[in-house]
Amino acid sequence: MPVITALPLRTRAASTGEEAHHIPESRAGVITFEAVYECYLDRVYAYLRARSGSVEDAADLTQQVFLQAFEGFSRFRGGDDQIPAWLFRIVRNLLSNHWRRHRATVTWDVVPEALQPRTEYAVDVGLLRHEALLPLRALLRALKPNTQELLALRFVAQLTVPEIAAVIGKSEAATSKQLSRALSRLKEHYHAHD
Amino acid sequence: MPTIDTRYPDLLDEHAAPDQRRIVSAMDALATTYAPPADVRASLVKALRDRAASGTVSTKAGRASWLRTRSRRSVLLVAAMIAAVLAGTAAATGVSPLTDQALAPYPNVYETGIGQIVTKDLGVHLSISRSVCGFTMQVTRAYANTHEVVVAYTLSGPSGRSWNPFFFSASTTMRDAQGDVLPFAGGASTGSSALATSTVANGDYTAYAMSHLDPLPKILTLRLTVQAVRGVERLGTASPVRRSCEAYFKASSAGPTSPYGAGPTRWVQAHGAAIMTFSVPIDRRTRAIPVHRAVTAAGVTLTLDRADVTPIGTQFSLQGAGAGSFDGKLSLGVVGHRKTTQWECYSNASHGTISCDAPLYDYHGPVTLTLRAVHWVTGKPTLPGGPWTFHFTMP
Repeated sequence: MPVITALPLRTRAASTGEEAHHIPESRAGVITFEAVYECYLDRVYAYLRARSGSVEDAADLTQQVFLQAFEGFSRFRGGDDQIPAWLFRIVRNLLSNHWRRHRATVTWDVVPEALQPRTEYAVDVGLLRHEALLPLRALLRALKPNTQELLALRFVAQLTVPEIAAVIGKSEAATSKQLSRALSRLKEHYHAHD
Repeated sequence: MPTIDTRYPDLLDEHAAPDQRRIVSAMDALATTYAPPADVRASLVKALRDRAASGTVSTKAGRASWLRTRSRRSVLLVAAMIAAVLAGTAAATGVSPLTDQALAPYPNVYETGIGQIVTKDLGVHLSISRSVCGFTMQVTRAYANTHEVVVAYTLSGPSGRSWNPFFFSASTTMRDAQGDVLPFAGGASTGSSALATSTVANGDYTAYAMSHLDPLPKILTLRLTVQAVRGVERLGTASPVRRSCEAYFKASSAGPTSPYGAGPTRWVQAHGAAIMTFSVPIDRRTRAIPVHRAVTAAGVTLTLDRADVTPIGTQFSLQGAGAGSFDGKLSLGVVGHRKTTQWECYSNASHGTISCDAPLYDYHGPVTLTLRAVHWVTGKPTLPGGPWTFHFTMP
């Protein structure tokens, strides 16, 4: 059994930027790795679930992301408003490696909440929503991979356009334009299903 | 809860067309179906804890034997991930002592048996300080029940030098009023999330077994001897301090690649002796629950005789070959919520018992205890097959 100790609970000072409101600060006004973990776990998992092939892959990749982030957090020199881009670049790299290894292109897979029902009500709601969203899932699967990625970063990971631009390495203007175009295309075909 | 307009201000301004609103709503609904399963968080916490622990102790380093004396009673002590919660709790309740963080790393999120000392304010509050070669130990709290004594304390290094707040530890001996030694039964530590800059200290607790005392007195008088205190010192450009009461070791596990900080460091062990004497009332509440279940797996039959539940933990008595070599997980299914909570358990080889850091004293319902035969240091399986799974109900 190894010596038990704590993770570094304080590492870097928080700025007063808008994003700081999203990450809980300690009393001393620092952003901790744990706060980053708490703030982004659901979003990282959701993104990986949407972009990988299975619940198991998403769980495994999520673990890899946070272990890698943990290793690198003490060396991260950006401001706290740069944490989403930093974290999702790790996500992106790991996902690319995952795809290279598995040669899988399954994206926007069906993950109804019904697979993890908590109550009978939740099962019903989940199934109904699942049914209603099937056409949209089909449309998404038909999009180019980079467009799927863009939409997943905006809607699943809940990143802002500047954050997405930082992750994918494009300008904010180009990112915004590409996002608009993707939504317009979806909109057009989604209505055709009505 | 943010509305869809506040989540997507770039896509939904006040002039947004209905079809734009509809596609954004549909995309948002689709995205929210991707919720992480309950076990993802638990397994990730464990992985991070393991990573933190492996970063702390390098198996390649010729580390001193005293490093092995700490540990067990792990239970996700590391706490790590819950610092956000800690920060919130601290803000809500005022100062949260370092020792409370060691005992209850994630109050209201993941309740542990030992954490009940904090959440239910068990035992006595103390403030006894002693120094060993300039290192200071301050005992802040003690709790005793029919099975064990738990003492919580802070450790800090000599002033004027730079100490890593996450690596302090101490070697101690606990004796009762008759001078009999209470065996070490576990312990853990945590760093400081909020006080590290002003007070370079960490919070620890150590548990000692006390089942040898018969009959048990109402008030237990204890004598805690501190033989040595250790810490990791960050070295500057000047020549390192050398003192006759200190010994120095290479800090290979806290080097530049460690998440605990870059730069040259060294382990410092301060020798000396300091004694603290104090008294603590014995909490006699115990639920003895007969189980008498036998399970055979991999050709090995284990019998679970009974569970002894105290306000800060649960101990299971096992019979069978190698009964002392099993580690396990205690799962508790909460009826009506389809929810399962798990706690780590560890074996006590000399007693044939399994101790779980689970707060089950007020629990009545179904319980599952899953045991695996693993080496308690390496975690590697010692028997093929298994696990041995016991289902029973706590009345």
